[in-house]
Amino acid sequence: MIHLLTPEIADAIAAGEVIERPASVVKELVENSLDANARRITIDVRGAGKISIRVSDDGDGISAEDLQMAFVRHATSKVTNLSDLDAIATLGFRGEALASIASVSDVECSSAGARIRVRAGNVVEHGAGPLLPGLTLEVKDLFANVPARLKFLKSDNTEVAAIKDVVSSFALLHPHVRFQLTIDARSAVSSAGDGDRRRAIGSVHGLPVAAEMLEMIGMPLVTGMVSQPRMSRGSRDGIVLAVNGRPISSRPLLYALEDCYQGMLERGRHPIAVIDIGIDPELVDVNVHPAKREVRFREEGAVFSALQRAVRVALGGSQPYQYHATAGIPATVARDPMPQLTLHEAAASVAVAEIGARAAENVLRPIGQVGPGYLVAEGPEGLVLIDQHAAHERVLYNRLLERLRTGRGITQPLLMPQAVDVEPRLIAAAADHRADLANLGLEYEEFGPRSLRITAVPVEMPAGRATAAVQETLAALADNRGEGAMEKAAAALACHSAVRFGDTLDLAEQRRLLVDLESAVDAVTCPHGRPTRLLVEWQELRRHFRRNY
Amino acid sequence: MKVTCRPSVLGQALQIVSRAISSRTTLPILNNILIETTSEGLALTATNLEIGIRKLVPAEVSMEGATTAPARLLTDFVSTLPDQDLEMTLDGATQSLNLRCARFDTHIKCIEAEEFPPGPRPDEGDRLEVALDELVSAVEQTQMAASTDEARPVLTGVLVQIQGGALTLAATDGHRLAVRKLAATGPADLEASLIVPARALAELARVLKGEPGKVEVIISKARNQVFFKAGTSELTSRLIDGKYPNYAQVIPSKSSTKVRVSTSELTQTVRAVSLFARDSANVIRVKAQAGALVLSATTNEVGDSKAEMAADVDGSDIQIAFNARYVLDALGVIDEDEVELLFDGPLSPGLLRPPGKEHYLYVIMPVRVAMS
Repeated sequence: MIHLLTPEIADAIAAGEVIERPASVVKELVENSLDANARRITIDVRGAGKISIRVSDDGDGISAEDLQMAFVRHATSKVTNLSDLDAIATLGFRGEALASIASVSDVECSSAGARIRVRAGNVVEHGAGPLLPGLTLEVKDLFANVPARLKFLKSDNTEVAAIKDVVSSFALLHPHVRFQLTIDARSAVSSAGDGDRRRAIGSVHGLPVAAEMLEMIGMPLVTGMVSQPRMSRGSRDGIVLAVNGRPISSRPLLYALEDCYQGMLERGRHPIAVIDIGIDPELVDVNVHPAKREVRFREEGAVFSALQRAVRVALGGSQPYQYHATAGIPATVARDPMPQLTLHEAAASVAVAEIGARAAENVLRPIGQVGPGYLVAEGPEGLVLIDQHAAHERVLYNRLLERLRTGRGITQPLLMPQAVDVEPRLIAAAADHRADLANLGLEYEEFGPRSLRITAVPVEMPAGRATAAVQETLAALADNRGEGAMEKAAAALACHSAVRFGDTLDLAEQRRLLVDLESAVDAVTCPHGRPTRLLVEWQELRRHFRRNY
Repeated sequence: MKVTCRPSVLGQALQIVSRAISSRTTLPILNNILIETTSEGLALTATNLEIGIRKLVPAEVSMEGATTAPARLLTDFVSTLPDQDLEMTLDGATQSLNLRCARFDTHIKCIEAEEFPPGPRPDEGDRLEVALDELVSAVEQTQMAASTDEARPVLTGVLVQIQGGALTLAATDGHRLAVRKLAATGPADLEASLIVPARALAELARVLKGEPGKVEVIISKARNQVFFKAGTSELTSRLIDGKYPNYAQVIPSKSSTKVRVSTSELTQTVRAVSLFARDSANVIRVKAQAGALVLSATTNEVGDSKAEMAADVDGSDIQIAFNARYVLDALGVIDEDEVELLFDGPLSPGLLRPPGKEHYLYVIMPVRVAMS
């Protein structure tokens, strides 16, 4: 027999889409607070959110007469007309959150001198409350009436981490709002709310990370900060993307961001980023996913390229890797143990990155070659160590990309064409990119099913390197179909044309390499993301040798 | 063992022999020099298993014997000694070599001679003779064109062809080719094709320096070793196994432009202009026109340079581009006052040679530059 579901069951089903775990409660309540123009939001979580979640803010609150209405499904103050849906400027708009939460828990809400208590969707108390600014809402016994959902919650640690992620994202995206998250009476996130995004990042990721972030400036559409290539993570957890302050997950935008780091980060490393795309609400549809994690852009291409432009400009201020003695501020110098190399960490002091201060007139003076393949040079900021292979690789890679772009290559045809054995799939990959390969300087003839006859190589390639270079270059093409394949191929070609780690360079060659490196863009890393140089600042040396310290 | 010799003579010989010692050997004995007494004095031998150098030093032998001494220490020590009689005595039981000279009384710990790898000896094999200065210049003119890349081992060697009482040396790295012919005396029916490591040949001039006019070349019966012997010096080298590419087919047989120009002037001009060829990886442009050769190079951020020099130009005008380094390599080993350049279009190999002579030629593949 078919019958209408009772309102309680219907509500519980609907709530399932919005409220699936404690972190969703936190997200909905924080969004409400932000929509109410709060400047201070305090979140207190107990028992991983299953015992209680308490959110209080200093926002506009809900007037006493509206308080009961707020817990009715599809009741909202944020949307009035259908046309409002075309341009949603608030984080919430469906009027489902409070009703959904109330249907699966015991909620007590007080605002503007009134107080209401709703349990499993039914109002159990309604009366006068404390006259305090803003609103305080406490959710107790979450999912107590939905045992199935309670059973499917993950471990407490996982749920707490999810809550922390939600609050962290908002703290990063809203630096002018003060966020305080306490979990079982312990402070987990605490942001200053003074509008300084670097400080907000410091409160979430720590000061060393904050010091390494580059501000995206001059692009009104895109704001936020991205990490310099010398600072990276092994996962994408540090990336927060948002539209109009709303955290979203978007594969295209994630790709757009990571694409900017192409050739700067090692395989498997990811940047840290906080990017908020400010866009006319009319040009974006957030009403796609119940939890609003996904959005649709009317002009995705434009957003995509605006993001890339902003990130690339910011990355222009990247600085080389720096040598630092033991991290942390030593209490006494004497106790300072032997210094160590800390590549992926920065100074403990929040030395604000001076963007755009990248001095083009920096001239490195070569001092010599040490070890199997490092160059030592003196620069205006200190001693510079250079990985000769990585540095040359970067110089050649940029040159090859330039040729790819302009289509004006310089090739060294071979006096004796050289046969190279390659797999058939590589021959197919080569055939697909024949013109591009020719621009890079690599020309060939097919020579049987498993062999190519190389007739010309890039002019920089030392004689005799063709075999390995061709095999690696074509493998890069075959493994990276589509976007970015040619860049990968150029990187392989540059790698095989560059001086090797261990080759002896005379002083003239060293000087030449340093000059080329200085004028190269993205010179911080080689195209595979390994660092090209390490700076040991004068200050660092002075400290070590106890001079003026 | 007990011998007496002059430190100056011994020191020089030690220095030359030490050239065969590789800095990265895993066999400790290869860091040592074998010292043996012979009927004429002392024989010093060092090897890295690829090349071996042996030198005889005049000495007065009062007791025969042999040992191996650490090359570096012995060489450094002997070179500091005053040039007075040096008496070397080996205590066979402890392998301690006592050196007495002027005020010095020194002991060096040695390793038994039996542990030293017995190198091949040039007793058997095909022999021929060449003039030393000819051979040294032939090596100099070819070995720089050999490849340094181990990926194609054959090209890291210099091809030595013996045919009809003449030697032909050829080397190529795939970008350029150098070929030099020289006369030899030996069995008229001797024919052989050897690939000698360029590294070994590079040592030849040093090893044979100061020896009398002729070099004896001995090829082992198994065709896997070659010996160069002149006077008291000897260099042996392993041969590279493999088939050398047929280089003759890339030597241009015709030309549409023939240029004759002063060698020193061209060298100096290429060197100067190539400073402006940085960004384009050392590429210089060469233009031959009536009565002149014009060289130019440009790098966007650096600047550009152009030089015109008087030249005998025969044939059609041409514009061609080369890697300056390859050109300089050839100019550096051409002794004649003038050099001849032959071109056959901007994409065909160019040829350099001493004018009117057939014994040396150098072929360079031009670089293709997209015209702006």
